[in-house]
Amino acid sequence: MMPGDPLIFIFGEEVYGIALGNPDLIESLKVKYGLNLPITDQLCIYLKNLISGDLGYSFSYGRPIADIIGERLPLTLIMTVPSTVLSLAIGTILGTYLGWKPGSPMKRITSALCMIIRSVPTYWLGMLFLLTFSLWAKLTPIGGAPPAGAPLSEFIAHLALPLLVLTMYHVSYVTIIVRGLTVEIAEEPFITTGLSKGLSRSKFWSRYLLRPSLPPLISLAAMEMGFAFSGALLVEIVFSWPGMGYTMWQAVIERDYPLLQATFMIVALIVIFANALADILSYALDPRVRSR
Amino acid sequence: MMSGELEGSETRSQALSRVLLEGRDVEKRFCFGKRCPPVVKGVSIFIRSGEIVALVGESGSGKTTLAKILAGLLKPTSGEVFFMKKPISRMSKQELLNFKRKVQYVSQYPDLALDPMWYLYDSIAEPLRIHGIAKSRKEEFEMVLSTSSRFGLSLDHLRRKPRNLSGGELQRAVLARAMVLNPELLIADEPTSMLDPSTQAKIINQLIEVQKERGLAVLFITHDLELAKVVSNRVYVMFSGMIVESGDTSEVFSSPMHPYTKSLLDSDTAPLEVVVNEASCPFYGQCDISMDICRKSPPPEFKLRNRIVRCWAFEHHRD
Amino acid sequence: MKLNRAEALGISLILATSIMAVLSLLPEKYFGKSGTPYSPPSPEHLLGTDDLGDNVLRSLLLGGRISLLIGILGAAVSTLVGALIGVLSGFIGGALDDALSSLIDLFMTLPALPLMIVLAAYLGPSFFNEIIVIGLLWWPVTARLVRARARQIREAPFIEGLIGLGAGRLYIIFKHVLPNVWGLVFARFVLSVPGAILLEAGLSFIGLGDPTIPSWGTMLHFAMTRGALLRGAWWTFVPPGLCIAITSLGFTLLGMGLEQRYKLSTKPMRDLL
Repeated sequence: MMPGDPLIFIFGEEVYGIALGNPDLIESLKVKYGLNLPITDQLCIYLKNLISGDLGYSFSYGRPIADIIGERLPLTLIMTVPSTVLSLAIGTILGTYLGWKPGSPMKRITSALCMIIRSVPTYWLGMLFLLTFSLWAKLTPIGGAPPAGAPLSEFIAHLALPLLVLTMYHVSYVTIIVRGLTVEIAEEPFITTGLSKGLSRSKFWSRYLLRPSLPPLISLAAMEMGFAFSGALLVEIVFSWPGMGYTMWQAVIERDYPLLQATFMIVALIVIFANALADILSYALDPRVRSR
Repeated sequence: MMSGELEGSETRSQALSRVLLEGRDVEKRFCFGKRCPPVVKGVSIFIRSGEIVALVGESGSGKTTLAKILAGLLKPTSGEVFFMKKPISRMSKQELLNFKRKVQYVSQYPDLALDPMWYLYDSIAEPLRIHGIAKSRKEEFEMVLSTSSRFGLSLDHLRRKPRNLSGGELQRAVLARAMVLNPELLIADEPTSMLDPSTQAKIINQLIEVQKERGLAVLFITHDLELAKVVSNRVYVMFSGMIVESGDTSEVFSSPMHPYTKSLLDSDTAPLEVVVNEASCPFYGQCDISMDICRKSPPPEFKLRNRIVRCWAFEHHRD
Repeated sequence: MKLNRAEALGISLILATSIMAVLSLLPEKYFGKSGTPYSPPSPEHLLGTDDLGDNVLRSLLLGGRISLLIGILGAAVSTLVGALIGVLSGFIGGALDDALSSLIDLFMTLPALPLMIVLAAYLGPSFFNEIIVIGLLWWPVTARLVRARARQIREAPFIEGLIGLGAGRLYIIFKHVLPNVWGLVFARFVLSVPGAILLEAGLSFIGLGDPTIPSWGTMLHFAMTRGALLRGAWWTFVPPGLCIAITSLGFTLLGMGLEQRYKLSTKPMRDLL
């Protein structure tokens, strides 16, 4: 899978550069990392290490990768989880409202706005906000995260902008999808009959609107987590928020391949897990999917 | 009918009575989960060169499935189809191609029977192209035009795509496409049942004319008894996946033997097609001359003078 | 050919961007003057200058060419791959379908951007590689849709008729299935372009874009890493972002319009994707 001398990818460019001048060093490093063993053995060792929590060593940071990820992952989660929850809540309400009786100019404008926000790169939005709120209005700090032990208010100040950007983006996405779902349900014949029979509004909502839309919504939620994760990666860079995305970026710059691989794997696993969860939930909750 | 049709030392009557297509003991089962009920059971049927054979039955009787098996579009679960005495399942690629050229199948649904993105002209010319028959564009054009006009299609029609044509025009195109190869047997599966009566009549007439002209054999599948009576030489009556009676059309219609055929011809409403009735005679529940043996074992085909009847009541009448 | 509203809007936006790309072919003296770094927009430099003193407008035009090219080529590759796999899987069915469907599902669950980052890091930043990476990751959605359509076509009566005429499978696929799938494929292509452009911009933003051919994403990257952002030089990054947005919107609208025209949408999300 990896082109070029595999050693670069194991050691990182820095160390490789140093090692090049010293053939003995290269040999001993090879033995240490088991590179002289057949591929299958190497794979086994790698997997064994994984399970025991050893993700390898980062050369640019000079620390075990597992430690780094242990520090950074929670930061990314702190950004993605609230953003997902918020965007789902706001998006569902907004989407249902927009989809129920579409046509009023206000609704058209909001829908258009959502589409526009979706076309914009998230990190660009971040840069814009950073400029306006941090630089010009001096409301929020310019970036980074406060050290552990700092007061909560400082934490929130640093988190505010990236969270806002992410949430805006995902709210648009959820809104459009929910709107579509609502439009589809609203067109169903049983809605019009129900209305004509004079069902009370609230009962109507809960029974006929929410219930059928719940399963796809839940699976959407799980999928959103996955998206939010990948989306957050770039936003972190803009705000120097030291999460997984920021780490990947650093790894790319420093050509620290072990770190890059490990972070990617963790991110991929989380996203795959979220998607699998979405599939399982939709299977369990939606009888239509089951009969397929 | 013309001397050109004779092969080798065949006499004229021999050539005429040559069996083109034959199905022997054909059975077809479709599986839905665990259950695999038979849709066609123990059917033996043959069509001779140049004759028009009708296959009558109600919907659900299995006639379309049988037709597709005879046309080579479906594989039977058991039994064999013979074309010119050769079993289809053991034909080489070349022989199969030849079979497909000589035997054509036309279904009852005109829409989506032709590629919606293709112009009618190309759809009708396509068989010629697939089999490499026309040696030039001009020749192809002439062949397509002549066949199309036999079915009442003009150049203007040919220039259009299926969505710009009526059901009747589409069905004519389907027929033209089947006939452009000059096949020896046409299996027409209710070709006009989706059309209005006047168009039906026109198309059937055109078909008969072409049949007379070219000595075409036709297996005409229909639930319209009047049509079968007028058009065919011989008739097969199908019920619940089995042939219950067969013989010369005029005789079968004037003196039907099988209880099902009788009730078909007598009343305005046909007896129901009962689905689950494996062991015994499928008509048992609705038959007024049923006996004990009818319930216990399925009746075989009894061959009378010019008739084949699948009914226990005729066991002792055979020659 | 009458255009519906979405299509019209979309095409006009795309036209605007295309004009930009064409303008970039003009020789240096138009919009090309360099000046002192970080100077705000002025009659002399319509969009100001960046950290190197280069005219932002010029970079914008040049970048447009690159972003559009990569976006369109990347989308083309991914649509082609997706269509091929979709047709084979949907029409031929059976074991091949099962295998390919699993492949599609697998690729759909993998997160695109992180995977792209890793791949790009390994393959090295280059124009060609970017296109390949985009092509390799975006095809599952197209494949799914094309597969569904191919399956529908498989059930259509005219296919059976063609088999009865003696047509071979490959012949049917090329002459009958592909033409009937084409509308869907084209709409998918148009809708894949915004994704491709955004992916490319994302890659460049991280620094994995080809440095020799700066795109809009690269401009954003430089604005971030070379301090333009922190100096408040908004003119260095607002225009490229806007251009990305406009181009994305343009293609999205066009794609939506196309879908309306071909009445392809069977999914409830009629208005997007």
